[in-house]
Amino acid sequence: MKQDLQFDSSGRLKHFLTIEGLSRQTILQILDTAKSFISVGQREIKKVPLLRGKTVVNLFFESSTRTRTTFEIAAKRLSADVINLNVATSSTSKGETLLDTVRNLEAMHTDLFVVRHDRAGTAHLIAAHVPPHVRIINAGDGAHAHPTQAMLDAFTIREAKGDFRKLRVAIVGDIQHSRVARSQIHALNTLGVPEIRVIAPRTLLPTAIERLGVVPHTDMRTGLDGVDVVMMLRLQHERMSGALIPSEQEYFNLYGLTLEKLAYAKRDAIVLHPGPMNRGLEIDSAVADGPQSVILPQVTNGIAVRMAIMALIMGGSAEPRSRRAEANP
Amino acid sequence: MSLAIRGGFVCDPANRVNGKRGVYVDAEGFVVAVGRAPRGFKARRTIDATNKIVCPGLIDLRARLREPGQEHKATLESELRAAVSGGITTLCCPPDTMPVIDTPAMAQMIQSRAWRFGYAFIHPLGALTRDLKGQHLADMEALDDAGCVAFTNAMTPVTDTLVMRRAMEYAASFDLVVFLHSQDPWLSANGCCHEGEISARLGLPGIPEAAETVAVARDLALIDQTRVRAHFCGLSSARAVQMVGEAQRRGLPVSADVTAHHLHLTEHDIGYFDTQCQVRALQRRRAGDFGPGNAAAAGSAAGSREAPDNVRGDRRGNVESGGYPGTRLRPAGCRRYRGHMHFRPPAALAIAAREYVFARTQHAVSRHRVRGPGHPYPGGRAGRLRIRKIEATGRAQRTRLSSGAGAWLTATCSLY
Repeated sequence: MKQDLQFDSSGRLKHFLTIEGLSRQTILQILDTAKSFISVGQREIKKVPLLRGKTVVNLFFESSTRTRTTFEIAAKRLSADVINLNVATSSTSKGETLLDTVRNLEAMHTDLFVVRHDRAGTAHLIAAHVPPHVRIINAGDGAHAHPTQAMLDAFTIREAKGDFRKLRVAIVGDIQHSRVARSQIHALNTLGVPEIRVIAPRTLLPTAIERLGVVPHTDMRTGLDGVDVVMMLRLQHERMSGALIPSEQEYFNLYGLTLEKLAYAKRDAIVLHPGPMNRGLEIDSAVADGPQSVILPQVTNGIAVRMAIMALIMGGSAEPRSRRAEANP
Repeated sequence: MSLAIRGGFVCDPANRVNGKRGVYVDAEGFVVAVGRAPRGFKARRTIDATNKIVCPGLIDLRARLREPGQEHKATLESELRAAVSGGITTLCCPPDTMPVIDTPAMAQMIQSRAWRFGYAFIHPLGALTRDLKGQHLADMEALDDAGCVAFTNAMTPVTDTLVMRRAMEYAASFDLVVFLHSQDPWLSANGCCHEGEISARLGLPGIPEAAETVAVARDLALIDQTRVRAHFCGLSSARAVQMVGEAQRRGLPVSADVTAHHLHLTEHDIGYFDTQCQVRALQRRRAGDFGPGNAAAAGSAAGSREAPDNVRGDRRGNVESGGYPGTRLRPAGCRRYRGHMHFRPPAALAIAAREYVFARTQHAVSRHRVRGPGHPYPGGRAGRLRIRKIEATGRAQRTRLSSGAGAWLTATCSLY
C-alpha cells in the first residue's frame, strides 16, 4: 500500500485516513473552512447544498454515539443523504468479509464512507480497494488513528489559544490504546506546537513513543507544569484486568485530573476530553464542568470540522467549481 | 535422461563447491560429475544455466502443510508443486495438521500421500506432546519409526516447564531431535509486529524482543540439563541468535535457523498496513541486526546461509487490518518482487528444474518400491535422518541416499 493513499495524482486530499503526511497548509485549510461552517449551525435553516445528491454511508463496526451522530449531522447540514449502518447486526455478522460489505454498498452508488473499526488499518484497506470516485473518512481504526477527532481538538485549541507555535500541550492517560492520542500528536507536531508531553504510567505508554516527537512523563506535577492545554483521554475499565494499572482508585489518585492537579498548569489552561468521560476516574467533575473545560464546545466544533473535511474531500471528486458556486447562494 | 547443466554458478556448501562448474547427470538421475564431464558422457539434453545459480535441492525445515484438515486453504499437491517450482525438494511438515501428527498412522499417511504425488520429499515432524496440548508426551519412538525426523510442538508453546523438561529428557534418551519455536505466549499475546517505533506509530499490538529471548533462555537452560539435541526455529532477534551461538560455544547440541523474511523484510516494510509483510513470526527491526558476526556465532545453522532452509513462507492474510486470505510463496531475496501475489521464476528454467526434480523423484519412488497409489510407503526407511545432517543444506540428502553413484541428489536450478 502506498503512503500517499490519501492523495490523488495531483496531490489533492482524496481520503481522510490519518493526519500523518498532511501538510500544515492542508490542516490550516480544514480549520479555516470549519470556521466558516460554524455559522451554519447557528442559522435558522442549518443547511448548505454542498453535497446535495451525494450519498454518505456511516459504516460503524464499533459502537459510537458522539462521532456517528456528529458525522450524520455534518453530512445532513451539507445536504447529503445519510445512511447509518449498524454493522453488528448486518451482513458481517453472517460471515461476509469486510471488503465484500463495502463492495456491495458501493454497488448502490454511494459516494462517501465514514468508517470505524476496532482493527488498525481498516480505513487504509478499504481506501486501497474502492473505485476512484468513492471517498473514505477514517472515524477511528483500532489504536491507530482518529484524525477527525484530532482536527476538532486542534480547532478547539485554536479558538481558545490562537497561535499553536507558542503552546505547551500535555496529553494524559492511556496513550498505548488511544487512536485519539496518536492523531493528536501528529496534528500538533505538524501545526508547530513546540512541546508535547504525554503523561501516563509506563504500562500505558507505547514503547518508543518519544520517536513520535513527544516527551514522556510519569508524574502529573512535572508533566502539567506550565502547560497551556491539557488533553485528557478515556481510560477503559478493562485495562484493570490486563494488569496495566492496579485499581481505579490508585489511577485517580495519580493521574485523575482534579482542580488541585490542574493548578500545576498555567492559570488559563484549557481542558479537553474526547469523550465519553469517566467522571471520578480520569477526570473530576469539578474540572469537567469547570470554567477551564472546553469539552462541550469540542462536540459543537466537531460538526463544523467534519463538514469541512467532507466538503474538502468531496470537492475534489467532480465539478468542484459549480458546487462552490452553489455554496454561496 | 542424461542431462548436462552448463555455465551455471554451482553453489553447494556441503561439498565445498562454490564456482562456475558444469553439472552432469546420468540417465538414472544421479549427478556423476561436477566440473568436467566424465569420459564418454553424452547428454541427451543440455541446459544453459549462464547467469544462473545451480544448487542442490533446498530443504524447507518447516513447511506448514494444510492437508489434512484444512484442504480449503491448500492441499498436499498444491504445496508440493509450489515447493518444487521454488527449488525446494524436501519439506519437513510440522505436526499441527488436523488431526495432529501424534500417531504413526498419521505420519505414514502423509508420507504415502506425498509419495503418490511425487514432486518433492516430505518428512513429517512428530508431535512432542499428545495433540500438541502440552500435557502428555506423544509416542515419540513409534513416530520415529514411522518416519518422523524430529519432534516439535509446532507453534503451540509448551508452557508447562516440567512437561517440557520431561519431553526433552525422553527425546534425549532415544537420541531424538527436538525443534523448538521459542516464544513466550503471554508476552506475545495478540501481537502482530515487532514492538517499537512502527507499532507505536501504527497502533498495532507489538511483540517485544523479550518474548523470544525469555523463551530461548528457558529452553537453553533445559537443554543444558537434558542434553537433548535441539534446533531453534525461526529466530527473529539478534539477541536470541547470540544466545544460541553462546550455547554452541559451550558445547550444547543446538542449532538454529532464521527465516528469509526476517533477513529481507523489516518492520519498516509494513508501511501503511501492507499485509503482505505480515508474517506469523516476529518482525524485527533490520536485516542488518543479525549481522554477519552474529550469524557466524551461531554456526552454520543460523544466518543467511541457512535461509534456503526456509525460503517458503506461506502466509495467511489474517491480519490486523482484516485483509484477504491467500497463500503465497515468498522465496529468499524476493523483496523486489513484492507487490506480486505469487513469485514466478523465469519460466524456462523453472520448467527445466521441475522436469528434473520430477525425474529424480520418480526414480526415488521406484527405489523405494512403492507399488502404486494406495500402497503405504515403508515407514522408517527414509526417515532415519538425523538433524546434524540437516543443518547444512544438501548434506542431508546426500547422506540419505549415499548409496547412489554421485555425491549429489536432486540438483535443481535455483533461480534469481
